[in-house]
Amino acid sequence: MANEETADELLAAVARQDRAAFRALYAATSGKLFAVALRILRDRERAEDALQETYVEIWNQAASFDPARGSANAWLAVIARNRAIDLIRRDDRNPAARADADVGGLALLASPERASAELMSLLTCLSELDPEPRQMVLLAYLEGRSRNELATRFSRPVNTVKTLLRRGLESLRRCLDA
Amino acid sequence: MAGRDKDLDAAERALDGAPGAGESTREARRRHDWELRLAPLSELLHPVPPPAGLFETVMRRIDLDELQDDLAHERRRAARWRMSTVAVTAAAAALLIFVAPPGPVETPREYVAVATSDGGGPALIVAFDLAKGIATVRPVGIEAPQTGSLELWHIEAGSPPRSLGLVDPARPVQTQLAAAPGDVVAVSLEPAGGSPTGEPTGPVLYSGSLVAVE
Repeated sequence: MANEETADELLAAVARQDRAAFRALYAATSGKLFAVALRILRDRERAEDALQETYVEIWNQAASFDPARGSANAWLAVIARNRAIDLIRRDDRNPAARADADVGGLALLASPERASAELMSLLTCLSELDPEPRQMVLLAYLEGRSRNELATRFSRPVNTVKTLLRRGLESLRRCLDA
Repeated sequence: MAGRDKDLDAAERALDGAPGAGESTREARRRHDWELRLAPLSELLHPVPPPAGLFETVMRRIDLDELQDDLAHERRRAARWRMSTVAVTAAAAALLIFVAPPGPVETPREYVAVATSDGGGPALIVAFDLAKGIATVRPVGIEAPQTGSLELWHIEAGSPPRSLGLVDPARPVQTQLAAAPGDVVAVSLEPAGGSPTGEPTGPVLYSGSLVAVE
């Protein structure tokens, strides 16, 4: 991802319809946002569709980005994730295949020196959760897994998954707010 | 539900990646705060280069969206102008389109469009011969671009723009065109020789829609 300052500045320029800045922002961020979409959709073609939607929305909504509420990188990642999840929820032709797909490795702390302070806080707080709810939160976030999918994967009733996720988020909030 | 933890509800919706039915502005704001809060988790993913050409596809979509917006704006403007034909002559219109009556037997009717460009005089007059389906495009004070070509487009409601060929600022051209009131004609700036894709790729310099003038 682009370093924070660059992404913030580029996004501010994109809000002024600066096409050169948009191209630079794309060059700096599209690899990361494509990874977000791919991880959720597990299908290159659909991930490409999601990435198109993502950048069209970034262009149209850049003016609504508020640096006081979060970083540009976070704002971009939210759009990429939501567009990918839209595609899944709207048109999941083969949810079984997606559920069985290899989860693959995360770059978990592969490059901790480049991790943002926000990520470090999140990981610290997630590490305080029990393994099962922690994994559920991560899979729900990174792979867009629904509660039903998580129930199948963890062989748990859907209501239990719902409770575990809610408690997990509650602990996360308590830790992040501390 | 009394005593419901609304912030935690918002966190759940953020994790779902879905707004939830009937979400209020305030609830959407809370959800978005949680989305931003969780977003650094995406840093855990290794970047994957997207295919070459995807950025260009995005730009073509953005250009088309903007063209459609311009045209929708133009239609609304033209609809207002229709109410007052006298004002048309006073308008700083960049593109005027007349539809000539097809024959002497029918009641003479004219169509006129008022353009989007502000402050300029008329740039093009497009006269239609409805009987033959031929449009004559007459440049009036249009400026030749320093680089590239001017391309003329015909847009019917709900259809993608169709090229009517290049505009030569120096002389009128004739083109086949079956047009109806409400259609839009636009001129965009394209690479020399015209759009390489068959769709407008450059900025729209002039546009106007066909409007009946009683």
